[in-house]
Amino acid sequence: MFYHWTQGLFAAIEPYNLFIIVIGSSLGIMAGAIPGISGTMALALAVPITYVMDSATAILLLVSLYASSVYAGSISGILFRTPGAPEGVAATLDGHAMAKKGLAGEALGVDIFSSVTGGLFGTVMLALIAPQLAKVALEFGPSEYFALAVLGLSVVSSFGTKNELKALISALVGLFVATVGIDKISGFNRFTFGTTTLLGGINFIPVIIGIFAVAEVFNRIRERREMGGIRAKAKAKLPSLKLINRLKGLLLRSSLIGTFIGILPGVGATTGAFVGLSEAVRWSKHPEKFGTGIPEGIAAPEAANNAACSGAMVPLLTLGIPGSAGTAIMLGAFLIHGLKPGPLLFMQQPTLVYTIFVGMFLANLSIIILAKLFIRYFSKVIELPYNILGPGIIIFCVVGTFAIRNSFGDIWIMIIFAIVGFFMEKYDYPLAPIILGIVLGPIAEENLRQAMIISGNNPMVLISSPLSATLIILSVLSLFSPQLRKLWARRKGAKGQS
Amino acid sequence: MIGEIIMSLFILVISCYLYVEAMRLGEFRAYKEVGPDFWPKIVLVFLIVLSAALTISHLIKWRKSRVEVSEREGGWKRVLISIILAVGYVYFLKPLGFIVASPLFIIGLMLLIMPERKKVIPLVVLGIMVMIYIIFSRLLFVPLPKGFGVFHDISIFLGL
Repeated sequence: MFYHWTQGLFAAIEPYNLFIIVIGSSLGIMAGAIPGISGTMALALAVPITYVMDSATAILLLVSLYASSVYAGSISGILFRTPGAPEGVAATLDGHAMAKKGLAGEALGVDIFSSVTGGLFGTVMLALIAPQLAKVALEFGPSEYFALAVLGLSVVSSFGTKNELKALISALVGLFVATVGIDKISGFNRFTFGTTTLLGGINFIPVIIGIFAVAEVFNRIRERREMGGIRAKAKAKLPSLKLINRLKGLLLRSSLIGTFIGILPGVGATTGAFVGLSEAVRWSKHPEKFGTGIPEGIAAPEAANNAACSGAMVPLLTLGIPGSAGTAIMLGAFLIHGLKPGPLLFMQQPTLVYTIFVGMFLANLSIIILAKLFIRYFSKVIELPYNILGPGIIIFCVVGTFAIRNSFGDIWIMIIFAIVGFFMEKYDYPLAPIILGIVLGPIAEENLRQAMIISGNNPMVLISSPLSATLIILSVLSLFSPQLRKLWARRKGAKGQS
Repeated sequence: MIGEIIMSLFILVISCYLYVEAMRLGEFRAYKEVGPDFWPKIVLVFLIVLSAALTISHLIKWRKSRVEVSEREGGWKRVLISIILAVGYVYFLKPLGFIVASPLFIIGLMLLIMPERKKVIPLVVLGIMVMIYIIFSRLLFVPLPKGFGVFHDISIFLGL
């Protein structure tokens, strides 16, 4: 273990990798802070850039971008009341209230400190939990893997949607898309409609770029949302020791909550931030002060969302099951670089795993320096209107998609999914479940068919082991969790009235 | 609400069509019950049932609320033109190459979304082209589409 830690440390602090971490964090901060470019979109755009990198460097770029974009969502929220990403919404309430009192610098400082604390805490927890979970996962067979994929898919009903049916339909669309191409078991062509482009299946990266980046540009063109003309003049002031002492208990609690929420598949950093904030209000001696501009209102959600970001890496690395759109994109990047996240990754590529742990730690640390620099020059970046960013993003997406394997077919797939994504989002079909469906579909199908063939087509094999049965039960509970929550709330309400 | 109904109905119709396609896969079955059609059929059955349920629920809601058909929202014309521009860009990228097709697309899209600021368009075109050229062609060594004939020669001349 110690050997792998030192190997991971040396790999992560190689000058080139350190440079990539700084670049990734800078891009993440920019993407997170600019309203209109989410961390997920930035990840999708960054994947083509990683083709020329070796696997460890590529993953380091993505994890640092991912971690810093979660932090940066709150910068524009604090300064302009326009959060750059959904993860920053919870901190906007108190953050902007502090800025209005003339304490923008202090608010930004608390924001940086809490985010870094949460991120570092989450990374330490990731490094402690993940190897142990991977050992358990080594015992998995086809039935367990199928059950695990179903568990991963079942979380789509709680993917922050107003309509669970639509979330399920989105996931099923993704599952279907994954079936296109040559069937790996029988060798037959499925749904290729005579074209050679579809023989190798629908590549997952053009789909991601289409639905997360280009569809969003179409969406903004329709709504004509503009971001230009905002100027900021603020300098982040890190909190004093006295303030840190006051916040320490809250930071620890929020980081713990965030890590736990991050580990749960399907519940991401945004939920982490809100739960962190609501728990801070619940435990506070002065809950009435929240929302009026107090540091606690920034520290709680920001520590929680960055911890959740590290926590979300646990199921991805140990089980190969992404729990969010961001980690699903990262799974795609792993696959592009010939790596298969899951328990075997810990055995076959231990150095890489520990490089990721150290890289995430360094990425979180780099936020302190980079965020201060970025905030100083923030006005220059935020001034770019979306009218200029939009065409640039589309061109970048087209060239980035072409770069995957010099295929015009991939560009067509990207643009078709951009149109599909635009209409689906317009009618409130969440897009993240499509990606989960595409990623988890092949895992579910191959393992289901393998389990069935081994057992002589006996479907009971899927619940024959205690582990797979437990996972299936958990999947059913997870699938119906929104209904169960409503039922629970109604019962509680009825009891309260009587 | 009309849009919602059309969307769910569209998914339903496509799913039914794909299910018929999946049934053809069964003809090649060599693995008994778990052939190449096994999983797609499961997925499509769920898709058909759920999209049908969604369509029905939309129809019920629509009848109950008696929403007028006049749910007009702005921006549709703009987005439809931008989609046509993007599709046209992808179509002409192969014959015209990156160096010719991209500026045309940027100019078209910018005239559509910011017609009041025509003066900045050349600067933006130049900025985006140089940025993409540096990132992909120079730093990542990714070949950009060169086009056919004279466009190919232009691309080669410019070092793409």
